[in-house]
Amino acid sequence: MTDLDLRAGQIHRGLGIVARWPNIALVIPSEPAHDGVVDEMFDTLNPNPTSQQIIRAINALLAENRLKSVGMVVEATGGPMAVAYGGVEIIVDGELAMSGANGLVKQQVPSGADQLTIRSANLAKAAEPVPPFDLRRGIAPGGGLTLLRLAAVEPPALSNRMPGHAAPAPSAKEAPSADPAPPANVALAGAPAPGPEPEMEAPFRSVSLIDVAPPAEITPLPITSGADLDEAEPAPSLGRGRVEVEGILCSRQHFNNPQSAYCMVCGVSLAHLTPNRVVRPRPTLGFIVFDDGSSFGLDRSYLIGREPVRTEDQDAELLMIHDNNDTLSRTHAELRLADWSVQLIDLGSTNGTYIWDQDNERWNQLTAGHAVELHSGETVALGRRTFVFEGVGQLS
Amino acid sequence: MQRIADYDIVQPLGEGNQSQYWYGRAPARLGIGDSMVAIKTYNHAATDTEFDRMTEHLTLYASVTSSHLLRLYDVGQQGAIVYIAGDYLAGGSLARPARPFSRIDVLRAMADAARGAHALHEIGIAHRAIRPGNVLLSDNGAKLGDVSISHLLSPGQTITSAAQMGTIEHLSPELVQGQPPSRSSDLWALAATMHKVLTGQSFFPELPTDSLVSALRHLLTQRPTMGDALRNGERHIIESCVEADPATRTSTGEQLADAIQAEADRQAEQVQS
Repeated sequence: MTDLDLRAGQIHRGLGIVARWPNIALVIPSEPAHDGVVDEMFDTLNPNPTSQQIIRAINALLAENRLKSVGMVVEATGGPMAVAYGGVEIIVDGELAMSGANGLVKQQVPSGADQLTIRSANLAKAAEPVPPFDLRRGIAPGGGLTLLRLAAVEPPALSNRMPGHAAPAPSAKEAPSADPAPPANVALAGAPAPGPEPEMEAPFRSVSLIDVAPPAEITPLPITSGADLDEAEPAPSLGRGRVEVEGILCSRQHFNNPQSAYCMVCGVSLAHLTPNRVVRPRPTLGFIVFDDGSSFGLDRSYLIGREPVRTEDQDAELLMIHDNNDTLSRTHAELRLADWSVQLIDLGSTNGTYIWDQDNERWNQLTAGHAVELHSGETVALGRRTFVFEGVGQLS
Repeated sequence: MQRIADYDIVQPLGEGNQSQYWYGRAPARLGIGDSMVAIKTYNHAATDTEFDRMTEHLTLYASVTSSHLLRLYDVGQQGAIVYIAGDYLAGGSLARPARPFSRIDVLRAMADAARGAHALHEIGIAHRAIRPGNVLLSDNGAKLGDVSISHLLSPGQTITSAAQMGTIEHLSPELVQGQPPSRSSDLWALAATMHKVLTGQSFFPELPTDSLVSALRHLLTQRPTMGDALRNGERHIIESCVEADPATRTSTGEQLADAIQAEADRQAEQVQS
């Protein structure tokens, strides 16, 4: 795989389509003139086109003047080659590197760049990519695409870590910036020469599913609900780690944090209520969404790690997180619910636990064993895995 | 003519989650004559381990003999494409039936789908992807189609991955919280599907679509909204699959199927009298 293929593909919200296949990524902004043209192009391509086939299809549309704007990055000998035409910008490590406003621009981009963004020039400058989306292959709606070297979203280089010091943020600014070479007006038609058509009758393997015998041993899914359940089962409403807390009821009887100004369920103001303190099972305090989109509700405490182990005095749920890079410790950190707050505790992990400090744009490392309260919207890094905490009933 | 493995492709049928559907002619090696089949492709260069895991899962699926499950013929890989070939049903789906579909027709189709799900559960498989477009229609009743394999192609990616943004309105809160798929989560999805088709409305009409995080927040904090167009019997069936406490919900697909079937019969009697 090439460097381009190893990058995460973050989709930006906006009108248009973004597409990605091996060795190529492209963005075609939505324009009235594009109605039907883009659909037609993808219809004529085979389901798994090569970069050459895509370039040829784009060239054909440009030659007929049917495509008004397009941006793409193609893996070429000598590194990634970027092309911008019409209302498309290419941004390299935060710097505007190319614009297609004055016609077609084609330029090599530094292969050391951490971030390559192809975007519609019409997107609001503040439009941020949507982190949980990682487009690796195929077509999706969107106004732009950022190809992110995975290291760029990861916590600091582990060797930079000094005990007791916040490690430097993984800043894109430290990466080599775009080569400010003047854009060369090169016709895209002169771009990579068409290669041979791929053989359609490529070898394949297959397994017949006709007349398959059932396995000797069958394990049905457990039945977990209904009146005929074994009464000896523990009540699921207050399982491991579930506790009762003191709170107040809103005028519609929703249970709330006594510190809240508004009901977290219906939004009614709690300010003028006579405090009516009751003790109830603690509601879900929010949830966390990992970088791969998996999410976990915070109705209980969690021990997070590669293969978390519980000690006797802990009652948290075990949350096993997959990590290709082996940067997670066996039991890395704890998310502990304390009354109405969510606390994060590093459990002496090898590679550390960090909270992103938005104001100072850096990762702050937690001291092992020291509980820090998490606030809604904060991003946490455990080794090289990250998650976002979303508090329910908290202001972000 | 375009080919996928040794299938002659006649025309594309559409796009799904990370996948495409094709209409094509089955090769002679399958021994099913000159049949037309539906082929689903994923753009995924599966490793040997992934391919084995996928064929193992689909072989288990194919061993279930239920007239309410889509029949599969063949699974394979050609380069960076993984494909599954199965029956092509001309009746469309509950999302887009090929002929006008009455309310009673919808209920009967949902009862069939619940029986299909039950047959899967009894052999240890959760369907994971029940939605209107996956209840396939034929003259001989409905079949549950398209068992999900995306979790096998991308291990570590859970049910709430962003690729499924379009179908998260059918997810039970337990799935959103990261618990494994179960009978109960499939029953929730069956109820959500039935609600959607009968009322035209999602369980969560105000589900934010601007970001995954806000959509998940909504699913975890809100209860399903029952549409006004539901009749009392239908509402009772649906509500019993989505009770806040999972322990009090309808427990099996078979029970759900029987309840829906009874409601369909009751409505049919009313029409006649």
